[in-house]
Amino acid sequence: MTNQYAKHSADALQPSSLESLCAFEHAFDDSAIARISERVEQEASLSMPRSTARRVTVALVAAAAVLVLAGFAFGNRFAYLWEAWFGDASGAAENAEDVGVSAQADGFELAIESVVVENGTTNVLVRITDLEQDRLAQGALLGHVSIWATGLEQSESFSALGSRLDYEAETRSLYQVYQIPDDLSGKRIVFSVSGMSGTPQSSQTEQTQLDLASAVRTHKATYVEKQLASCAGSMSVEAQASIGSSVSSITHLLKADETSFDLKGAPDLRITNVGYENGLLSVQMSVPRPDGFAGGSSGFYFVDGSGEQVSMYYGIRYQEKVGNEARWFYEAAVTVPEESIGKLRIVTTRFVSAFSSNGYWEMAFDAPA
Amino acid sequence: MNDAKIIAGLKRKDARALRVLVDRYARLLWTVAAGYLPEHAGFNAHDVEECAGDAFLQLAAFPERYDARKGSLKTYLCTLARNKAIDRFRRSGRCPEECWEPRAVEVLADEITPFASSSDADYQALYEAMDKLPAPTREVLMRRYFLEQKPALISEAMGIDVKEVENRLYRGKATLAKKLKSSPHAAAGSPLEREEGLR
Repeated sequence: MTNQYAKHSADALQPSSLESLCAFEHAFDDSAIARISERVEQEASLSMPRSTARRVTVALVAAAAVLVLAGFAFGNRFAYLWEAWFGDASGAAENAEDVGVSAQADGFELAIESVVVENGTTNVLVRITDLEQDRLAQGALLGHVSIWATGLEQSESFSALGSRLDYEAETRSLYQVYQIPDDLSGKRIVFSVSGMSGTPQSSQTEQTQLDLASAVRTHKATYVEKQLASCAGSMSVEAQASIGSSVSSITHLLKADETSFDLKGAPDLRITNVGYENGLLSVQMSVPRPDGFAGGSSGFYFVDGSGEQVSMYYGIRYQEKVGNEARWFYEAAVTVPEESIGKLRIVTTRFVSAFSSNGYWEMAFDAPA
Repeated sequence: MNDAKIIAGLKRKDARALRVLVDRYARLLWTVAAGYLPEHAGFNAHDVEECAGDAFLQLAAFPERYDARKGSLKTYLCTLARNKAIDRFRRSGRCPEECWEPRAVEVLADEITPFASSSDADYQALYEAMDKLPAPTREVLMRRYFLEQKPALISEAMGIDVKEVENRLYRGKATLAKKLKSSPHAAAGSPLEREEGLR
C-alpha cells in the first residue's frame, strides 16, 4: 500500500475560515500572494512558454472581438472563479447560472453575476466595482447583508458568509462569494446590502515624541480597584504567578481618562493615563470599540532603546462606563527600573479602513431551479 | 486547471501554472505555517511568508517528487509548508516536538460523533461549530485542532494557565459534542453511515 501524505487539519477549510483562523497568528495579507508569486517565479526561473506568448499575441489582436463577445468572456471568467472556489474536480462550476443584476449607489456598483446551488448551499457570486476611484484592491467588507427568499411557504430571511475570490485591477472589480446555507433552488431572492467599508489594514507608528519618563514624573497617576464587566488580554507567567491565572484577575488598574496625550498617525487613539508603581510601568489607552475578530483591534506595545519589543507583564482590553458612555481601554504594563523608563517607546498599532460608504444596494434574482 | 495540469505546467517551467498554484493555495499555506511560528516565540509575518514561499519553491523546483497516489497536491503542499515551518522553528533553538501534534483534529472528530469521518465537509462543519463558541474557548480549540498547537504552546500564546487551557478544551469538546449531535449533520448521519446504510 502507498503511504499517504499526512493531511493537515486546515486543508479542508474554506478560504473565509482560513482567513479567520490565521488571524490568531500573523493575519494574512492579500498582497503576500503577489510577493510570494514574484519571489518564486524569480527564484525558480520560470518563464512564459513560447506557445503562451503566441496565445497572448493572438489574444491582443482579438481584443475587439472579445469586447463584442463580452458576455461570453464574462461567462468564462465566472467559470474560472467558480472552479477556483469549488476546486476543478468537483464539477460544481458546471451548474453555475449567470444572473447579471446590479445596483449602483455612492460610487459603487454591486452585481449578482452568477449562482450555484450545490450540496444544500446556495453560492452567490457578487461583483463590487468602484465606479470612481481605485479603493477595492485591498478588499472590502459589506455592511449589513440581508437576504430574503420568496416562493417558500412564506418569505424567509437567511444569513450568508462572504469570502473574497479575486480582484480585477483593469475593471476595479472585486469578486466575492456569499454562501447561504440553504437550498434556494427556484426561489426569488432579494439580496440587499447596507453600507460597505475597506478591509481594515494595519499600520504601526513609533511614538517618538512621547517621553514616558517625563509623563510619569509630571503626572501622578491614581490607581483604582475595578471589577470589569468585559475584558480580554494576555498575561506573562510572572503576572499569573502573582495576580491570578486569567486577565479577569487584574483589578488594580489606572483610573480612566486622568490625563491625555495625543498620538501621531493615530487620530482615534490617545493615551489616557500613565503610572509607575512597584517597578511596573502602566500605560492606558482609549481605543475604538473592538472591530470583531477578523477586523483586529487597535493597541500598542513597548520597544526598548534598540527598537526591540519588550515583553509585557500583562495587556488587558476592557470596557468601562465613563459618565454615561461605555468606553474601551487597553492597558499594558511592563516591569522596568525607574531609571530606564526614558528608554522605552510606545508603538501604536491601528487597523484602518481605506473607505467607508453608507450606500444601499438591492438586487432581486431567481436562483436556478 | 487541475492538479495534474499544474504539475505538468511546472515540469514545463510554465509560470502560469505557478501563478494558479500560488493564487489558490497561498492563504492555506500561510495558515499552516503561521500555526507553527507563533508570534510570542518571536516569529513574524515575514517568517510565515518565507515558509509559504519556500514550499511553493520546492514544488516548482522538483514537481516530479509529487506523487498523486499519496494524496492531493493541496495536502502535499501543506506537508511542505509544515516541514519548512518546523525547520525554521528548530533553527530558533526550541524543540518543536513538544509544541505540536499533527492530526489532532482527527482525534477530535473521532471523539465527537457524528463527525467520525475524515471528509473535508466534516472539518469545515467542525470549524463552524467551534466558531460559535465563546471567544477564549473558541481560540483554545482552534489553536489546538486547526493550528495543531499543544496546550503548553497555547498557554504561552494566550497568556493563560495550562490547566485553564485543558479545562477549556474539555468543556469546549463537551459543548461541541452536544451542539453537533443536535445539528442537521447529525440528523442525516455521518457520511460513512449514509454511504454504508448503517442508519
